[in-house]
Amino acid sequence: MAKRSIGLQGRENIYLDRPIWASAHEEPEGAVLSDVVAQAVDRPNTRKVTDLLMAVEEARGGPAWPSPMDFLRERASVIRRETLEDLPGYVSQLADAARSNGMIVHFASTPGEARQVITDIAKERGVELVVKSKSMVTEEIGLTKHLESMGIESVETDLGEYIVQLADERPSHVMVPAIHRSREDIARVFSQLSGGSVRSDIPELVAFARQRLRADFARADMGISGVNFAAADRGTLVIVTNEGNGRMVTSRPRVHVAVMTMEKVIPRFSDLAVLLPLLFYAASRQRLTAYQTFINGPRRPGEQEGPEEVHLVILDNGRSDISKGSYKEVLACIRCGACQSACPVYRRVGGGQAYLSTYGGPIGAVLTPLLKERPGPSELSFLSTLCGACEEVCPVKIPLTSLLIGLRADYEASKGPYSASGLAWKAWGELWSRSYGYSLSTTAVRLVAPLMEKARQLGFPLPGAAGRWVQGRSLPRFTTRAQAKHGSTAPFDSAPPVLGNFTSDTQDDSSVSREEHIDES
Amino acid sequence: MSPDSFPQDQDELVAMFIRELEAAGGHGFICDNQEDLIDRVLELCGNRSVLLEEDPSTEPIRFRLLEAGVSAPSDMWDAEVGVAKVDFAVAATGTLVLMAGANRLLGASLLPYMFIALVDRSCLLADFDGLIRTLDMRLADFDTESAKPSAIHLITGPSRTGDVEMQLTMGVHGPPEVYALLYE
Ligand code: SF4
Repeated sequence: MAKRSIGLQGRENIYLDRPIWASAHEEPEGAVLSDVVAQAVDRPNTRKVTDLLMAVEEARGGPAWPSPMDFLRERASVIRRETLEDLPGYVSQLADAARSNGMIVHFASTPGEARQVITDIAKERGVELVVKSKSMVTEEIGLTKHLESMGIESVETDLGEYIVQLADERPSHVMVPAIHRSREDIARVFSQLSGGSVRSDIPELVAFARQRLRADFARADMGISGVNFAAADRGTLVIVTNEGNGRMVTSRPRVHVAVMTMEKVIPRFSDLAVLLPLLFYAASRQRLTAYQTFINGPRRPGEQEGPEEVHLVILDNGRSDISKGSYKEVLACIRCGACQSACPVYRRVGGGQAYLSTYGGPIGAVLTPLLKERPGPSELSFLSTLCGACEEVCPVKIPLTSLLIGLRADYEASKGPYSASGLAWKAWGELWSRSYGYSLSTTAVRLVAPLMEKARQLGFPLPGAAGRWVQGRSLPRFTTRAQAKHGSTAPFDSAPPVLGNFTSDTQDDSSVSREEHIDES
Repeated sequence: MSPDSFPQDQDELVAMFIRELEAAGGHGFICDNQEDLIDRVLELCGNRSVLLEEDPSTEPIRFRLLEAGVSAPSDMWDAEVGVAKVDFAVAATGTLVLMAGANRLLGASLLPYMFIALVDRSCLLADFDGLIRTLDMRLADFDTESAKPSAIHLITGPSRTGDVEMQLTMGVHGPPEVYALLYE
C-alpha cells in the first residue's frame, strides 16, 4: 500500500462548489471566455474579492516608486533585458554551474517532456508521496494531475495552494491563490475534509493546515519547488517563501526537484541585491519575506541534513522563440503579481480564474497566447481596458499595454488578412509606438482611451468573445487609471491588508507583512 | 542605499538589528557574557524539549540544559525549541543567515515552535547589499564544489501567511517565535 498524504486525507468528502471552468482537473472544454467572464462577475463572492483587491491597491499607495526603489527598478530593468539578450547563453552557463555544484540538470522543451522527466525521477526512486511548494510552472505543465494519474500523491503545502487543491480549483492570484475564498468558505472545506468542525477563525485555520501538512513534510520522499531566480555564475537557485514551506520541501525529503522556466535565470548572484528587494517591494511592500533559501546542490559529505539528490528541470515551452521576437520583454517578468491587483478588469472578475489560464491578469493575458502549448485561450489580450495601471506598477517596466495591443492585432490577423478590427489594432499599435513610445504609454492611454471609447460606441469591432462580454456589463471598458482607482471601500475593520504571498516562480508561499513602506524607513 | 549611510559603530548596528528584527515580529536580546547567554537560553527553553546544534561552542549550553533536566527529543519533529548559531546577521533588515555544513542542524531553525538564534556580534553586517556581496565572495572562494554549503538560509522573523483574506497570521510551517541572542 503506497504512502498516502495526511494533508489530503478525506478530500473525497469535500463538496466541490466551484464552476467546472475553475477546476484544476477538468478541461474547460467548450468554455467560451466571454461567457466565463460574465459568470465570474456574477459569482457570489466576486464583489468581496474586488473590494479586497481594491483595498490592497489602496494600502499600497499607488504605483509609487520612491527612492531607492526607483533606482532598483532601473537597475533591474537593465539586468532583465541584459539576460534576454542572450537567454540561451545564460541558461547553458547556469546548467554547467549547477552540474558542477552536484545538481542533475534536465531540459524540457514541452510541458509533456517536463512531466515525463519528473515522473521518471519519481518512479526510478520509488517515490510515493510528494510535497510541493508553490510554483506556477508546475501548474503550466499540469504536474499534480499527472503525478496522481501515476498513483503518486502530491500535496500543495502553501496554505493558499492547499486550499485550492482541496477545492479542486486553479489558483486565482499569483501571491494569494485562494483570494476568492472567505474564511467561512475555507472553514467549510476544512470541516468537510476532517469530518469535524473547524471554526472560521484565521489562526485556527492556519493551525489546522500546519498540523496536517507537517505529517506530510516528515514522510514525503520527494519535494518539488519552483525557482524565483537562478544565478548563472554560481549555479545557485533562490526560493523565497513567507510560510517556510519552501524550506521544508527543499530540505526534508530525500529528493528535491526544482522546476523553472528558462527566463528565471539571472546573470550573476550579485544581481540578487537588486532583484530580491525589488520583488518584495513590488509584491507586498515587504522589505524581505520571512525566508530566502539559496540552494547550491545536494547534501555534502559531513552534512546531516538536506536531500541526497537535487534535480533542476528547465522548461522552454516556446520561450526561446519568444526571446527572439518582438514580445521578448514579457520574459523579463519576475512574477510579483503587482500587475494583477492593479488591473481593474482582474479585480472586477474576482481574480485569475476567469482567465481560464494558468496565468491570470495582465501578465497572463500577454504570456498565455505566446506560449507554445498554451495553458489558456488566445483571445486573452482583450481582457484589458488598456488603462496602463499594470505597467506603472511593474518593477521591471514591461510595456504590457503595447504588448497587449500587438497581441490583439495578431489575434485579428489570425482571423484573416483583411479583418477590419485587425487592421485597426495594427494601425493603432503603430501610431502608438511611433508617436509616444512605451515609456510614455500610460500618458498615451489617457489620451487615447476616450477615443477608443468613442470608437467602441461607434461600433468599433471588438472580436466576438470580448465583444459579447462587454455588452451589457458594467465593467470599465477603456478606463483611465483615474477612473479605475475609483471604487469600493475596504471590507476591513482592522488594519488594511498588504498583499504578499510568494510563489516560487513566482515566489513561494504566502504572506502579508506588517505594513511596511520601505521609503519610510 | 549606500553603505556609508549606515552606522559603523557596533553598538548602533546591534541596536538597529534588534529594532528591525522586532519590527519583523521577532525578539532580540543583548547578552553581556557567556553566562548571561546560557541563562537566557535556559530561561527561554523552560522545560520544553530542545533541539541543539552539536558544536564545540554550544557544549556549555548542552551541559547546562542536561543539568536542568531538559531533554533532547528522540525525533527532531517533536522538538519544541531549536537553538543554533548563525553565520551572519543583517542589521538593516533583522535577518539571520545560516549556512549548511558539518555539525550544523538547520532543522533547529525550522521545525520547532520556537527558534533561538545565537548571534556573535562580530557576524553583524550592515545591510542586505553587503550580505549578498559577502555570500557571493564566499561562494566564489570554495575551491571544490563539494565544499560549497548545500544550502544557505536567510530568516527574517517568524513564519507567516496572508493566505486567508490577506490577514497577516504568524507561524504556518516554520516557527511562530524567533529570538536572537547577541553575544561577544
Ligand atoms: S509583468 Fe506583472 S507579475 Fe511580471 S514583473 Fe511586471 S508587474 Fe510583476
